Amino acid sequence: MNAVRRIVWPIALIASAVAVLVVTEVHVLPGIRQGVAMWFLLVCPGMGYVQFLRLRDVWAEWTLAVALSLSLGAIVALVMLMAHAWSLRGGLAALAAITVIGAALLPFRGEPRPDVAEERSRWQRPPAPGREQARP
Amino acid sequence: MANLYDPTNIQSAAHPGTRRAAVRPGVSQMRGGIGEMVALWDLLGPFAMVAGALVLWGLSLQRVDLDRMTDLGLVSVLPVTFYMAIGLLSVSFVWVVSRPRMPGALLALHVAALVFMVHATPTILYGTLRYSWAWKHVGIIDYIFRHGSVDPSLTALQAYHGWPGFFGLGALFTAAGGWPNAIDIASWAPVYFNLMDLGALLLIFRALTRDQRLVWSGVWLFYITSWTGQDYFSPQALTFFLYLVAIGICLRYFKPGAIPSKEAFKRYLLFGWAASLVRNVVVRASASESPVPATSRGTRLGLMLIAILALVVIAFSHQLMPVVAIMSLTLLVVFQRLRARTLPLLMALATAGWALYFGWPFIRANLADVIAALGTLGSNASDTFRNLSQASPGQVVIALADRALIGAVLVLAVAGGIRLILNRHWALSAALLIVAPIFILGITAYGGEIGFRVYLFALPFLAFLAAALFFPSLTAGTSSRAAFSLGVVTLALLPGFFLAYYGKERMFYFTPQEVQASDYLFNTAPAGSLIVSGSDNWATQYKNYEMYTYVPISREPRDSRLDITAHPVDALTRWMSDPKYPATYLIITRSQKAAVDMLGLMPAGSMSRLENALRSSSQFRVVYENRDATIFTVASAPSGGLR
Repeated sequence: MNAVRRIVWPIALIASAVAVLVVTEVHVLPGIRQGVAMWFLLVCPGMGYVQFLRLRDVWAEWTLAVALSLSLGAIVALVMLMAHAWSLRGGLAALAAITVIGAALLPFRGEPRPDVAEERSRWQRPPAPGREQARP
Repeated sequence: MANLYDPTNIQSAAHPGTRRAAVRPGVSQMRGGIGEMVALWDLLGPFAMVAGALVLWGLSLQRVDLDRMTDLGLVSVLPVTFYMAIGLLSVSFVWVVSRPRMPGALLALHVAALVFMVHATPTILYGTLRYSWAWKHVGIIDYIFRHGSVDPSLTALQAYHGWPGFFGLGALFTAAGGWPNAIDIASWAPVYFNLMDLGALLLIFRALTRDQRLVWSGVWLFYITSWTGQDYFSPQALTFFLYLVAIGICLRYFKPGAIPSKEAFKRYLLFGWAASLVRNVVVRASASESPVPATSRGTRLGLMLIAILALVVIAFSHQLMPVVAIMSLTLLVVFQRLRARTLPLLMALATAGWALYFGWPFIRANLADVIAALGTLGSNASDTFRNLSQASPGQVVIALADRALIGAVLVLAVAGGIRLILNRHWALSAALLIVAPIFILGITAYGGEIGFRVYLFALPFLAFLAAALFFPSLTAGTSSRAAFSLGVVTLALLPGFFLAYYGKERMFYFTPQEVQASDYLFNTAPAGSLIVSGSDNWATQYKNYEMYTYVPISREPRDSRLDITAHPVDALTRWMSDPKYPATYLIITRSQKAAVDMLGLMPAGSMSRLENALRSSSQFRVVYENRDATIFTVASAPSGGLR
């Protein structure tokens, strides 16, 4: 799984970013263009960053990747709209850059520390006197 | 693809966190061929039932005659095999969810099949985009293509320009896919938005309970009671998904680890008894819900950033959803279900900042209505429930069905909540998230839809509580009686769901002929034209929309409508001879007539009588007509309607 996260996902994400830029510029079958575009815009901009979080929950990872991808896409589109400069090329280039940065980060993500499960946030410290720890 | 029946991939419902052997104990003890056959059926049965349901569904679509649709909508033309397919799928789902072994992927397959069968049916049958509002949303994307921006000062469809997030994103999807407009992508929106919601629902429900039976039953009940139709190509569909994701992140990863002391509660609740009561509920709720997964500080930071981005997108994409998000987050913070205490404030700032900056032209133009609606909770709520005295008999049945469905969901949720409490589980987060949307009743009537929006926003949590009626604790609900009850309730809810969800399809459906007429109109009408229509329920405003003036007769003041009903030729001649318009048109379509008659917007048959009067008048001339649509212009205008 770590190999997938460290190697396969970065390659797939960068390849998707390149592919979407290519298929929107050269003539390809409509089905191919639509498939690549949907895949890229729905999943790729967010997936690199979500993989970086190591959630160990496939459902959560895919859901958050889609939500983050759509959020990033909407923000990029909004910036272009407000600048009176909405364009497909500009939007895809920005999202491809975001995707490549997210993918490039993945190989450098360290292994989880063995004690990560024991790590407690400042909210999860043992309760102070008068404060009751919630039972798991 | 994970092996569904890999023992390491299977969690026991009653004992989550433990692994069970892949073979059911009872089956392993059976001898010979019967035992093997039972094991094989156990393995392949659900797949066979899902496949059977899909085949039955596919066959049933071939026998639908849309021309025979009555005021009961698609319900009146779908063959019995369609309902048998849904029934078979439901039985299979209940069977799988009640088994000791319940692979998530198999349950997801059932839910995905349900979503596809329910929401792809109109798309496949019609071949055209349904809902007039979806066409208008296509029109905003068309505007973005032509102008590269939006213009909040435009008066037509102004709110969309003030909150353009969804449309900017939709334009990216449309252009990247190489489509000339967003019609194709919009046609499938109910399918992909509902599938996306599945992931968000799982995120939330898994934060609320460790019982996977409760998680998946809640998901199932959500989909068979979500009838409000807000899953079409719209800002609300996108923001609803993002709202669920943001709430899911908060509930799953940002629950407080410790509960403040009674004194801390007393500081803002003032009374000691109230502080004790609330603190006890919070402590019990904390013990009932799933523990927070161990995460590093960096992971939590990343998750919070995703939630914040989702909330920011909500703030600039929709007017109503940000208010619901603020209320939900505030309640979660106040009742110690969310430790990110500044998140509601951040969302409030983003919402107010956007509304006062980019959304201000719309708010200023509608300020009087906004102020008038503030605080009129009862009036806003009652606006939702249309006066049925004017509606057609079929629509009275539909309205009663959707009200009954809402009532049934509420009763089930209350009963489920009580059963949870009796089993010492307090679903406080779910209860808070049901209450939160109610506050928007005091803000706006939202075009008479506000009650249904409240229902939609609360529905995920109502469905969760309703599912708790069958699985109130990890050890309860293991008997076949629970499964039987869930099956009976599912089958009892389905008729109400289909009536409520499919019941208005006679007006939501636009035939290919109607779309051809709209295409003709928007391809030939010169900029600045006046376009009069019977109602606003037609394929409209999807191309060059800002270039025209639209006048739906059914939305005119009562006196104008009475004038047109009594003297159609004279009244419309006056309207359509105004020299300030280079051309004037009147379009009457099948779906406009359906909307007027079904909803009682004008006396039944008004549109047909109007059409006949214009046809027989020398003042008007038909410039286009087909089976389902007619376009008139004044006879004095040159060919094509140009003056």
